[in-house]
Amino acid sequence: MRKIVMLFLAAALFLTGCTKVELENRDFPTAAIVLWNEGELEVFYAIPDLKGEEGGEQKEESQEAILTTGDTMEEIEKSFQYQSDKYLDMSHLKAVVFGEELMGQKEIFYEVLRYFEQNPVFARNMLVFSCKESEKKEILDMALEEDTSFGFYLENLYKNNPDIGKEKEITLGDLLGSIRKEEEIKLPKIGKDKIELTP
Amino acid sequence: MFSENHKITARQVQCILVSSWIGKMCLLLPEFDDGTSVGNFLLCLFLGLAVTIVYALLLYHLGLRARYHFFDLIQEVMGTWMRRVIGVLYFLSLSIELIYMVRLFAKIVNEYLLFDHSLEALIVLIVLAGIYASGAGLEEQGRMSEVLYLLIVIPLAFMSIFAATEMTGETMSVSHDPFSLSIVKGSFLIFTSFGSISLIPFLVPPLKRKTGGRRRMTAGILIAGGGVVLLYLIGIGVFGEEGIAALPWPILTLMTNVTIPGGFLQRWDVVFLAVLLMSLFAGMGIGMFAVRTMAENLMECGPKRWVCGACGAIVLAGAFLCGTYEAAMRLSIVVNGCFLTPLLAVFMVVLAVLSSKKKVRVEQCEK
Repeated sequence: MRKIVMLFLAAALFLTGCTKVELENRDFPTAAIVLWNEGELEVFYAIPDLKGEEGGEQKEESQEAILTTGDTMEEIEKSFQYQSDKYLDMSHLKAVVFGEELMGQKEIFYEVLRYFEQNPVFARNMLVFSCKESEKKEILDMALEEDTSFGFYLENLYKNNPDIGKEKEITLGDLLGSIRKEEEIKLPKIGKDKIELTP
Repeated sequence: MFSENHKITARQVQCILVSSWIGKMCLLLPEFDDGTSVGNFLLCLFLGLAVTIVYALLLYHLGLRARYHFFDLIQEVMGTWMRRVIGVLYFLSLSIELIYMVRLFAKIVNEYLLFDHSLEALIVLIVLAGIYASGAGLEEQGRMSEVLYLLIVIPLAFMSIFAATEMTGETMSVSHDPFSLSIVKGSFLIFTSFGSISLIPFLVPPLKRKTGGRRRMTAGILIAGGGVVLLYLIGIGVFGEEGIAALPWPILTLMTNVTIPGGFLQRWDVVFLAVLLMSLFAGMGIGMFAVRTMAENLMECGPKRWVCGACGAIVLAGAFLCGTYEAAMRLSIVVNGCFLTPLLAVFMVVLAVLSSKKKVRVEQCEK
């Protein structure tokens, strides 16, 4: 009897795959840029697109930034999913960039933060930054021209910079904590010319 | 290689209690925070733990009186009918607790690990796992708990240490309201969350050596309850009072906040979640075993394989009938918490009084 059970469990483990949607059919955005534009949310997902050359030794990594608009983050996520042939897997999101105009719209901003807080797929130690909506184009160009995906790039700015270090990181948890305590918090700013890691 | 003498050690009892409670209590905790202030909630936790320890000592004392099986003591003191009534109460109470744990397990796995999988399939799988685990004897349950104990406690201890480094002094201030009935209600709910404590008198007769049993049992309650209190305090330190109240699963969110130096893994929450799920699995195993034992006692038959499957089918049907996790939780809190657990407690107190009187009469007769 036990042999049958073990055989059944082994078959369930090895013959069914890890999950419904395999890894190669998923998009893993590493950064999200959330802006406020003309009365609605505008979200860019920075998605690395790993392509392998047939018979080649090297894999090229390119980036794409997908724009989706909507009234809420849930609507935007669904809207992106309907348009994409791949499953949007947010579990690797490293950084979120909030537009300053969005942060000025307190109610909408808190709704966005609640979306990130209540959804277990987002880690609270995700980095947060701010930017100007007017510099959107330059920031997207910066996000797309880097060799590594934008989220990893922002993470490495702290990790690999000994003068700044991981202690200066501002995470989603820090942002949520400050808002709850009604304290002012200055987020690191991504500008068209430079990134201010220590505001 | 391993004995099948239906005996367990006091250490295994401690392992059974801790490994089956800690996961469930960590996840059930937010439900008890019924809008009360954090200071009052901590008071509820401490009072609930104290009541649980006192009740556990009473149950242990009753278990010592039973020679081979606790139901034999009930039969001897209160008669056959009361044995059946108490057996039915035990069966219902443990089944409802299992239904809740099945729904809890499926919800957590569906929300945190396997988003795109069917909830119903997860429910069926955990019940099947519980049926398989319940097929083993008590000594195998003890051995399994001994193995799982360190696998659960050590990672949770590590997680607590690293989560504590994220605490800030400003968030540690807690508010408290004046003493009110809500504290009594909260303490009672904490006490009922130690649902399978009613199994203690069944675990005492098979103890190889009775010495150290009371100490191990109390240690089990303190480790499980104390661990939950500690994690809650760390949660307050990290999220603050308002923050922790806003979270559906504070302990799980605390896990996403943990950063372990070295950069080996970006996120450790999946690892710690797996540890909690092991605890839920241990709880399922011992719970199913207990339900099977109660069913065999009610049918007055020996161990039968089909009884495991039948009990599993009942739990599965109950889990599906509940429909949602919230319904299963309400069922557990209302039926178990407000009715079955207090009724069983009353019967245990009556049993303790009657068995003491009987013991005094027997001693007087012998004189």
